[in-house]
Amino acid sequence: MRPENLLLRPTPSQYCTLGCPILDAVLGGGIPCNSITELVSESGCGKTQLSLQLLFTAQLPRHLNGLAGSSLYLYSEFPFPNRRFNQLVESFRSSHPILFASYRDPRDYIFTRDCQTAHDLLDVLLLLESRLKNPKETRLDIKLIVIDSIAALFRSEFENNARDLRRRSSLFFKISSVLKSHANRFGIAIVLTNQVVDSIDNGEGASGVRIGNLERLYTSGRRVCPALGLSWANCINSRLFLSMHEVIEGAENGLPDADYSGFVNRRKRRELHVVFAPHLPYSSCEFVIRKEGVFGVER
Amino acid sequence: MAAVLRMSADIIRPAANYNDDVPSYILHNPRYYPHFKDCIGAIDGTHVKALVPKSEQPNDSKREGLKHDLTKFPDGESAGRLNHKEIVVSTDEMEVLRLPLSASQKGKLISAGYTSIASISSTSPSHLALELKVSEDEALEILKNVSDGSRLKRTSSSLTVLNGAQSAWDMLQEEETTRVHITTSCADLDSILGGGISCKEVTEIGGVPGIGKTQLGIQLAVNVQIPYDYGGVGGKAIYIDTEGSFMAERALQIAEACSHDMAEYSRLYHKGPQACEVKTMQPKDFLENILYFRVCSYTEQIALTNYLDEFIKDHKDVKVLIIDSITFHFRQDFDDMALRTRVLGGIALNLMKLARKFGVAVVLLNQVTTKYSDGSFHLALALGDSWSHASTNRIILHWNGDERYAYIDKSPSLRSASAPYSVTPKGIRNSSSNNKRIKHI
Repeated sequence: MRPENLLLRPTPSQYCTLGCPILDAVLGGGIPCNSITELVSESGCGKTQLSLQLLFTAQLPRHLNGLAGSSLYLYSEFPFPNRRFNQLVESFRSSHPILFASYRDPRDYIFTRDCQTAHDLLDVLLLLESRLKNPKETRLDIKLIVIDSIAALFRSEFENNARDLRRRSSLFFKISSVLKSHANRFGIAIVLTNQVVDSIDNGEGASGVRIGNLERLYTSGRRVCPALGLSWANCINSRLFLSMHEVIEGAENGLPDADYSGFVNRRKRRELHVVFAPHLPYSSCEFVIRKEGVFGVER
Repeated sequence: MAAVLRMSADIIRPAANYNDDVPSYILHNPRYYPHFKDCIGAIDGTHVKALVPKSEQPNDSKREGLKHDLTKFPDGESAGRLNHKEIVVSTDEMEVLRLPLSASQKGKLISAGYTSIASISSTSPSHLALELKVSEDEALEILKNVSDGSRLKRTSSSLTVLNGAQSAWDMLQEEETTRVHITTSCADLDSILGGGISCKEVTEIGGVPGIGKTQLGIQLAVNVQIPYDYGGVGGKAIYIDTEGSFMAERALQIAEACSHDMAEYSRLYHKGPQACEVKTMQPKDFLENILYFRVCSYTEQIALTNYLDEFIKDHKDVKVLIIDSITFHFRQDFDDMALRTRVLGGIALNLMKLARKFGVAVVLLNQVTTKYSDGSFHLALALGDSWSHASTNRIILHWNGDERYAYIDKSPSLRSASAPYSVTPKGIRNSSSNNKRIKHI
């Protein structure tokens, strides 16, 4: 056994760009390889949008801060977002015409597979290991795995009693251990999406534990906390929280304008926060979802 | 590495006085090796009935050295001369031979079955006389010689016992000259720790995710390298990463800040010719001195812990061993929880031995879990109650409002106290809030 030479490690570590320089700056370069990053938010906030975007940016070559590899998308919530996916294919191809000429379809480098339960996921990962060890086709050089969402995998088979929760907890560690082992051996970046549950504000109980930089996570006016609890929080390396708030345009002081015509412009303000990460300080930024993808907004 | 892993199943099995290797005593003694290489133990001074079937009895088995006639058996059966290869003999047999007795006396003792000093000294003279078929006077004389000889042996052995032991006063002297601490770069934290993380001890640090455990681990791995001239210990660090949280860029960032601080210190305090002699360390040098291991399963973790003894012997300048985190691989489903407890106990013992033997500071980072008791949940360190005995000192990191606090939960020499700290781009530093205070409990 010999220690690794830290200076030989690719420093800076490989990061997978998100496709937007503002978001990349918040994340210190992008999604790091050899690490598990979790995106947690309520539904409709943009987790799936962001993860779909990553499937494409991972294919970008190194000089454009991509991972120059294929991506694997494991989804547990039906249906697969086909329409949005095709929209993104088009916009991606038009923004990188030289790289993605007609003969090189980005879809060829994205693999998808559905998973219903946690054991399904373990089976897929086992299969993946054997494929990654002997890459017969160069297209199977997977550098990004996205699991959307991890919470749905644990929904069905666990009751809310001590024994099942313990069993669920040890399954978390097993899955995390397998994912991290693959990440380490093959240099893969792993992104998971997680859901939120409402948190009753009494400060007691297991869900009242503060984890990370934000004392409370608020979205759409509700106080929430990430699903799967404290044990799962120990299994990931970084957590990013996406929040959504309704903002009424043109009424900063809370009162409507004098020539109130009966219509107000409401929009959803979306923000990305770093809850915890070993290499990042707390920071946040606003982002928007456009046809071309997810982009950060300059302050 | 693969060989070690394959052997790990044998290594981690609890050794209950049973070893697969040939003990060195037998290995190096031509009298016993290779005849007793499968011997699993020695019986001291006990009669062992050994019978060889007539068909296998060799005709003549004269051999130089020890020759004894095992013709005497409790039930009077005679076995003739037996080839020594088929008999388990006590290794203490030599004890009797070393006594100041005549050869015939020794021969009689051995053939009567008295092979060790203990067995002789426990008999009365009359009994011995009967056994040896000698006069009582002679038996008395033999006993006197035996007790003289054994007293000498006992005193010499007791001297060795005393030689190995230390008086508490000696220990205090030794401690005062060699006790070293590794600073955490946060003055408040250092002061409640009595100067920093102490070498020669096992310190466990636990907390919720995101509180700064890995940050503290990296800070210690950098701070251990601060040279003597700057008030540090000038050693190397071993960082065992089980979770993949170690980011080399972050370590570089912390190393840069440390190097910058050292340059500032040097500017202010080292004047004149001294300034030129003082070593300056570059951030890159800091990273070179962190010996980083990544383990991906609990068997790897166990194998590595066992290998550390040899590794640290070869790298004597290692002064801190950080394991981040000790728990991760053990929270998976173990079919046999008793096995997990045994394995963890073995690891704990190994780490404590490493700390004492090489004078390294062993820092174990642990996770927290929720424990339900008395109708409410509270946080407790993972791995259970039996693990809580593994560490000498225990520090718990927690949130208090918007501030990070470190609380000394268990320590034989430090009083319970808590201190605030903060995680900054430069690493762990003092908390910048105005109403910070160290609380002694």
